[in-house]
Amino acid sequence: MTPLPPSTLAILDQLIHHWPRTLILLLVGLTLIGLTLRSLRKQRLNERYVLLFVLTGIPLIGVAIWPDAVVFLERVLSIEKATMLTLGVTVYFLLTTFALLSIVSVQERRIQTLAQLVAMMREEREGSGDGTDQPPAGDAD
Amino acid sequence: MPIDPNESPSRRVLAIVPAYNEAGSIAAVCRELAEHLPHVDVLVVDDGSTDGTHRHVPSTARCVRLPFNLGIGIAVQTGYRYAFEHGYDMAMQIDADGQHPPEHAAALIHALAESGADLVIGSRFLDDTPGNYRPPAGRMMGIVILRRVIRWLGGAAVTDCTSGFRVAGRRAIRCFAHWYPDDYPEPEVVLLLSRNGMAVVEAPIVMTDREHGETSIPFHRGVFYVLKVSFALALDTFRKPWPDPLLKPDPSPPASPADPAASETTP
Repeated sequence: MTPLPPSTLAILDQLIHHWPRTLILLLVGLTLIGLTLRSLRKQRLNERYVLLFVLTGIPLIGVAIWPDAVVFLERVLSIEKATMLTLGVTVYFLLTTFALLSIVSVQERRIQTLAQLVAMMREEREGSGDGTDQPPAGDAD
Repeated sequence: MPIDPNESPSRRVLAIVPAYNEAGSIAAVCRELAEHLPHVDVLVVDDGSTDGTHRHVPSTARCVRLPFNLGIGIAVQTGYRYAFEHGYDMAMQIDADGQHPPEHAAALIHALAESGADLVIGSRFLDDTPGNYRPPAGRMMGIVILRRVIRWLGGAAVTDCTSGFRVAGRRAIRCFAHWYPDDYPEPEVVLLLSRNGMAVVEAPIVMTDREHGETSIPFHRGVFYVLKVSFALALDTFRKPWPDPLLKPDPSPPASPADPAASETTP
């Protein structure tokens, strides 16, 4: 038998009775999204990274408004709360790591290419080997 | 039959010498190259050495200095980019540690010209000359395993897949300038070229033991190295490193590999 979602009244009742928890979760979620959007506006964070943090903040706000969402999901999915949370957090970190590594890989290739171009341009500017087979005194790179 | 590639200097050949902290041997290698192959241009790629390797490069050679250490794959690719941009017909890789005697380089160049292959690898296992360098038993076993992995994954049947003494033709130069493996380039290149329809052949050479510097793969890491390379080779079967226009026998390149955006390949 599929459990029914709680009514609006039930959710409001929970918000009133557990207002400190709601407040904290709302503050954390909104602060996260606010900081992310502020960084985006000030060009300190690229759009592709913003998505990661906005997607983190939204569930926090969702749980703040409906604290028993986790319990509801537990019933719907028939997975224990602890297991579900562990899985969720693991998947989230895996996806985040994957996204960041993808970005790092592209940047690494670009840096390598840039270094190669710099080296070749320097060679063209300075010419060939310096013509000395012996290092000058005090050679230190 | 005596081989003298200098009899036909119409082919422009670049010798790429990747060097990392090879101050002790780089001058001798360059001088020997100039002596044995006077019509071959020599390019030393100093991979961010900290021992002043570039100061030991004689005036007969050119030296590209990478701003920091990027690894053997990127150092070698820098040479191929240089060869591509300067219109060389062949590019030869040769180690800076003196392990690859330059007098044998002519045989590789000749083999490439004769065979029409895209890559000729100098194999120390095809020459029975007494004193020819043979790796220790452990490393030899690793080479045997890797050559079988390459063959099993659809690569060419080569005996010395880890040899860094090799000559590439124009098509391979063009491809390498666009993309080159940076993890385990020697065996990966054999597999990737073969799987992309290019011809890889071998020619017998003599190698000596290293004269200076440190080996890039210490013996005690051999087993782990073989596992890592095998895994990398398996992953290479999913790669499409070079776009089709580059693989055609004589196309005009679609974009300069000097363009960073054009150089990126999404595996």
